[in-house]
Amino acid sequence: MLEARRLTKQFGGLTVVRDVSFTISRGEILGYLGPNGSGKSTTIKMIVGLLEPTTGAIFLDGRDVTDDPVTFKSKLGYVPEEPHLYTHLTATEYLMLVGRLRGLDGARVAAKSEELLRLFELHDARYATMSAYSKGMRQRVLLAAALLHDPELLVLDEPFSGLDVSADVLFRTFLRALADEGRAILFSSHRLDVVEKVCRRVVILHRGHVVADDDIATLRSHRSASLEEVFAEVTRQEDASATAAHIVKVVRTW
Amino acid sequence: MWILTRYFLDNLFGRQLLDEEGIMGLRRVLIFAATGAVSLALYIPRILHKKYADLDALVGPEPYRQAIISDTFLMICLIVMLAGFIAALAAPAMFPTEVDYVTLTPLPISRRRIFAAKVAAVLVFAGTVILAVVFFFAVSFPLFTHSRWSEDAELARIGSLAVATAAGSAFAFLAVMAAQGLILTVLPRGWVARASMLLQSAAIAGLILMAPIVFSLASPQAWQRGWQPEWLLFPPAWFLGVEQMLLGREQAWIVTLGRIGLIGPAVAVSITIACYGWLYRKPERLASLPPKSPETAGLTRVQAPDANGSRVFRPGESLHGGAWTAVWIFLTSTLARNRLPQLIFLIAWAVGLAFVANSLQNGLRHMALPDSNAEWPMKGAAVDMPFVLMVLSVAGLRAAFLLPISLSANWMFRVTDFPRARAERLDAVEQAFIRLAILPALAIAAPVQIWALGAGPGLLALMVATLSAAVLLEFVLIGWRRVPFTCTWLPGKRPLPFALLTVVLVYLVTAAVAGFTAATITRTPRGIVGLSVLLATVAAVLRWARKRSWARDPLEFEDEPFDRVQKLGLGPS
Repeated sequence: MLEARRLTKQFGGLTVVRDVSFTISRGEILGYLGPNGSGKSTTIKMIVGLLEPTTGAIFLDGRDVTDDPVTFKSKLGYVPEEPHLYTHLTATEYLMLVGRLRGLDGARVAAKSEELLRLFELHDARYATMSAYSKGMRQRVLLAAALLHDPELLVLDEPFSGLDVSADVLFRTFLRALADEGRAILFSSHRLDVVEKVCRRVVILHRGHVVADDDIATLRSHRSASLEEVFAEVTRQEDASATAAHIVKVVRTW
Repeated sequence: MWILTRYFLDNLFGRQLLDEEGIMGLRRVLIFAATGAVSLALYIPRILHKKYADLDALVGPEPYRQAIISDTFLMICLIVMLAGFIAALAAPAMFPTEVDYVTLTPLPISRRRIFAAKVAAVLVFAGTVILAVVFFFAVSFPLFTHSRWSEDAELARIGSLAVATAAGSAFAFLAVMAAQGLILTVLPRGWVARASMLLQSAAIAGLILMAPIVFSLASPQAWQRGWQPEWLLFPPAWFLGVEQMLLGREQAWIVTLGRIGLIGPAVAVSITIACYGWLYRKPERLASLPPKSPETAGLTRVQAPDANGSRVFRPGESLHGGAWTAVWIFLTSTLARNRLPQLIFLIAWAVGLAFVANSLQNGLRHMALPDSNAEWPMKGAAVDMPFVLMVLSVAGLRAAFLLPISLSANWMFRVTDFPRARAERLDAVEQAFIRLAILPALAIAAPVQIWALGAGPGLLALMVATLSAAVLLEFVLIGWRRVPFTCTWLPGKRPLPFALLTVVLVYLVTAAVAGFTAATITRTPRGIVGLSVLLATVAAVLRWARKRSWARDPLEFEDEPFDRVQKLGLGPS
């Protein structure tokens, strides 16, 4: 369904993403992993059209998305890394805004928003401006906004940050259900435990390169390790206990 | 504590709105504005010196005495209003804010120190402003208005004016602080943000609208009428009483005004201290309410949507597409709920209304004179009225729309930027200019024009104003390719000569059209028809070009410096 082919992004002389390629099929949830600053969010921004790749291309069902960006965007749902939304609006107003900007019928958006807010436990606070919402509440609004137009492709950048345990479980189950319906989901997260539960395949990025792209089971069996250990190995993480001891030493120094 | 005080001082005017490049740009604009204000201020002593030299040469003291009291009154009013204006701009930061509460409370800084630093920052700021105005105006004014007819010694005049203006300025600051304090302590917490925004906008707009009243009350004609009871309701007048009391005057009205002038600041300072004390004891009032239930959220809630899910859905809007409605609701909600754009828009309206009120007042004064041409100033004012209101309100709305609000949230507009809906989004912007600026200006002007010019000429003048509005709208929307509030902002990006040229051009065209209309409206309707045809043609051509470009060009989300790359043209062509 979605193919990122040799994506490269440079800012000035700095190459943030280099030759990144991967595919996501219908019904698949692809875990997109990498340490901070590895280029995950930059790749995602290129996919959703917020950044233009310096080189490389993105294909949806074999067609370059730049040939018909409108069709691509209409099939895409996106949750950004941080809960960036217009906090002077209420949740209802925000969902209405997103729905209308997507060209959906006002009355249907209203009905669907109402239902989504109820299911996401935001109904009681739907007339309050989002400035007073917690991070988790804002995250739920963003998830609802990404689902309003029944997208075929979901791009989720840290979608569960700020959510409590019950919401976390609900949304994990819900993502699986969406994928089972044939939707493709790109799931970027730092939380390896969640990725391990939700995804079958992962792409691991390190310093802008893809350093692993395989089924989780295969990665684990080749290295006889947990996903966390595989991640640490391929991203060349330092020994955590040694680093922790060093930090403690620095903290004590005065 | 000095570090904290400095932090509070730096953030008195909400610096977080701009990035470094934006701050540099804003600095350029402020330096330019300050230079203009200083140049103007330097011109005032020349006028005063000349006026009082002429009065000095007269044979009797009475003209001098009438002039000096009315000018002193004007000076005190202007100083108090200036202090009030500055205080209103800084109003939200005069008490610890929610951001202060959230960021500083977890740090090992005592609450006493936080509140003390805030008080110190406000005192330093207010003290600097008061000292500056007292030094520049209260000291120099008596020197430039010196005359042999003066009843008081120079030093006494300087001292009394300094005390009166310092008390007046302090009252202006304290009144704003007291009002802000009452909002924070008395109102339900859910109302605080909106009430504070309303206070700031109303205070600034009110101060601007007060300008014509001040000039009217301070006119020599007003002083000839003697003591007026309505002066009691006009706070700057209280401090004239203080000044006159200090000079030893003992008339009853002076003593009354002077006493109120002493009681006013005392009441304001008591309320302010009480509010500070209350917030010190209950700092949790500075934090927002979490919207956990409709009951707690009820105070911050906005109007529930109707069956169509639209907050401000009106029958006419159903004719427009979803993108139009989305942008319309977004921009009206943003304007209604965000302090700075709302303030800029209201200030522009207030300035326009103040200008209009001033010229109408002048017109009314002339109408009372036994002169065959006594109606002309009123007729001129009536013709000019819609032009003044339209130009200022459109400029204010444009400036407000250029400000970024929650810039990081604009990704939503970017990922839904579909070419087929682009023109629709921009049409909503056009409608905003029409509904929020042009139509209200015409609606306010219409009855005045019909009353002052008569039905026929009044309607003709209104037609010219409407067609001029269409040209003005096209001029403003040339090259406009953004959804309001979603683009970065780079103040002062255009070269100064270009910006000035634009202002001069708008002024000249508006003045020419208004002047021609005023001159011909009652004599040669044919000329008005010709002008109307010209304006309609220009508007239609510009509109056609704009509509083409709106459907074609992508929206912009970054403010680019004007002519970032300047070609020197040195190479071979």
